[in-house]
Amino acid sequence: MCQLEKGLSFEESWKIEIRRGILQYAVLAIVKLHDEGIHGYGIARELEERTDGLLQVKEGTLYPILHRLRRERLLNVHTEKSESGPSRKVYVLTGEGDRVYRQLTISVNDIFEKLEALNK
Amino acid sequence: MSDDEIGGIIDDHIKKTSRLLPDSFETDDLLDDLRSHMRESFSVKVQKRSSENPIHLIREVLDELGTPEEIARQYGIEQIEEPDSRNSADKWIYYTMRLVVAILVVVLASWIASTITEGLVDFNFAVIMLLAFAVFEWYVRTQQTKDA
Repeated sequence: MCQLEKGLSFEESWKIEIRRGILQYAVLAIVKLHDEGIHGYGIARELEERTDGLLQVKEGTLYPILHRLRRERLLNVHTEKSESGPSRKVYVLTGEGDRVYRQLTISVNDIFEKLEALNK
Repeated sequence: MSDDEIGGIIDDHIKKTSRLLPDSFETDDLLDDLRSHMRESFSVKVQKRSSENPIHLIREVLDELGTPEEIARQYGIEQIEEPDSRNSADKWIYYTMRLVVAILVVVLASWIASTITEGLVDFNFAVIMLLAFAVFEWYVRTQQTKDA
């Protein structure tokens, strides 16, 4: 994995590393916005639109993240009929997911607050 | 371009991705997700840009989805092993208990089989066969867990 990132500038590799951690949090945040649940395609669209492309990812790479969050029991899934034909999965936040998301929000805010203080 | 041809391009991408992922139920689930994502994305593009060549649109879908290598790499990143919270003493107790229960079940099943068939099934033979099956089942399960 690191070998693939060889050749990137320090700044570029740093951004990739930071984005990895933030992405899971951002996915939880988007799912939380949708009480009725949201499908993978919708999450990809919102990630791009709500973050002005900052957290835009190759859409296929979102699914391993969604599966990980399901394994951690932070997301639940149910299926619905899609307009394009086959059924699709709709992701909703579990109770534990909601708790973890709120906890992470506190940590994220705290981190940014401290970093901002470093710049003063 | 027909639906079949679009389906063929999607199937090809799925096949290439599946070759890079372990053979497991989770992978099948992931591939289903990718397939319905591609269908959805393609359908939205066709609705918005109906005059464009479908081949360009499906290529765009694949580009936005990412290469099989990129998807497999993210899959690898998310496969962090969960820490085993049991300490080594607990592990020994756990595995010993499992072994004792497995042997008890095998002996009981062999005795029942031997009694019901009035000795047609030899008790010792049944014990050996059932133990062999239990070891085989344990081996297959271990391999599946390792792959997943």
